[in-house]
Amino acid sequence: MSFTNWSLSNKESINFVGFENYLYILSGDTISSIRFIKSIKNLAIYVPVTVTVGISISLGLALIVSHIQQRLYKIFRGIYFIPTVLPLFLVTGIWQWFMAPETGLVASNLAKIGIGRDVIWTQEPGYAIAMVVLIDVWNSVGFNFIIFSTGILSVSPEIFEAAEIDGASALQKMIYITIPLIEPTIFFVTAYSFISALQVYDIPWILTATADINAAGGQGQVMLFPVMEMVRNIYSGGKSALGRAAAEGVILMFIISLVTFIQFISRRKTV
Amino acid sequence: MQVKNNFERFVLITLALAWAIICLFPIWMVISVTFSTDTSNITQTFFPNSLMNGIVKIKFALNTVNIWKATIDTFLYTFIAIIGMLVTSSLAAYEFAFYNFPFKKILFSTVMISMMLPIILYVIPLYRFVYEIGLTDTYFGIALPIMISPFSVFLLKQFSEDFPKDLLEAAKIDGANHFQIYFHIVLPLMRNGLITATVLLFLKSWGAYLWPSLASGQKISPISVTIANLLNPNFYVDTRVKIASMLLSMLPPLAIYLIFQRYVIRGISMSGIKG
Repeated sequence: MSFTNWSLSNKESINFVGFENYLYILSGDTISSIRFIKSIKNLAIYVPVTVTVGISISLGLALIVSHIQQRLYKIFRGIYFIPTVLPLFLVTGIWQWFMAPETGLVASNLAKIGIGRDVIWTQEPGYAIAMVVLIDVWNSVGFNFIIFSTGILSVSPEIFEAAEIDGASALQKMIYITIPLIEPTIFFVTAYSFISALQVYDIPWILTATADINAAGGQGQVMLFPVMEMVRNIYSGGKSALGRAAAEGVILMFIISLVTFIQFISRRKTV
Repeated sequence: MQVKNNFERFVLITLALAWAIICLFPIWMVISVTFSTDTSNITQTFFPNSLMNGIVKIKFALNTVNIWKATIDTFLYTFIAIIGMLVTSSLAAYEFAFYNFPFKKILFSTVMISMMLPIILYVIPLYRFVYEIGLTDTYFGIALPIMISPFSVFLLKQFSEDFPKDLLEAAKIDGANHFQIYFHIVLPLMRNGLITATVLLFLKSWGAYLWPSLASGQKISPISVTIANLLNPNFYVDTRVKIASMLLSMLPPLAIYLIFQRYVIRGISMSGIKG
């Protein structure tokens, strides 16, 4: 499909055009292709940051909560999952309001302590991606937390008892026992987080949506990601639009497979 | 593996509590701002102060912003998706769990891979397909990709693996056929799995945005698209109406989660076991 000139307006004649769509979107000298390359650059910043932050917070919480009473653990688990239950469009809506420059609770307080003073978070380079990270992390920690804590609870308690007799502190137990033993779980969550982060769409799309479809991604495309660019192509309905969108999809797929493949390879080396 | 040292325990509980507050505070703010007077500063309304104004805003959101219609529409396509998922996934899980057939391993890994590489890969061909058979802007068209849920197949198969195989053998000896076993033995045993899969699919369908926004048009307004349009700066609405609409749209998933919390958490933790 990515090798044809499909579009919605042109239903009858679908022609094979070879690598034309790929050349077009990767050439870097048309507006569409500059946008696509920019979206890949944004993705390269966003994905590592959001995965690292998200996993550190959820693993940290899972380690903390599994070391306190069972009753409290259940209550916390119930609470932590609430942001994950909320639909993403809603989470985005709530944070859009919190991060609004004047009327936003969080942004106005951050400005008071000097972070992002006089900044419109959705429009400023850097801040825009930070905002998407913030929303994504708030939403996804609950899910990762549950998987991590299930992994931790399946570790046999005897090992911890033995460590305790040897005089290990809580922190030592976490670093030297829990983390190595739940390595498969950590690997699974990491792989899964990468795959879903690479497809980021809802949050930035809603944050930057206006009446004009070409405004997706905000001014200067500070918040543009590949899936958004694909959707923009579908809506814009220009010549070969679907073919181009499909070509972008194939490139993104290739990136996703590559990242996953690298993770599997590097795991085999370390374990 | 509880921590015995009191100081360590205090630190751990404080940290855990901090994240709990981060989780709950935004939701609390949504409630308290909805139920506040128009003159109160929305960055400082930490407690609700006007029940009446909240009701006015909620009524406005339901009728004028069309949250009411969006909720019904979303329930309808979610319902179709759930029925479709229950039929296809339970049958698939039944086959994968209890029967051997050629290419079983390859087929099951295909299902698993399609779980890992979701909508982005097939959204364009799918859109083209749904468009061509004239299902855009219908409930069924929106429900179609949601009901095909490899995750549910995986979940139900995991549940099925604990079933006593002897029961199936016994039924076979008594002369039950393939579908009789499915209806009378496997489905009742799958009950918990079916509830879990239903609840998780409900949450997924309620939050789906990319596909519903492509496939819906004039007739159907998915809740996600309605709220997203409301957030669009070109579309002016009173801030409190916006927030009231968000409050309304978070109620169904929150209610479902609170009722079926046990199932949701078990389903999620199961997905991590095998990886």
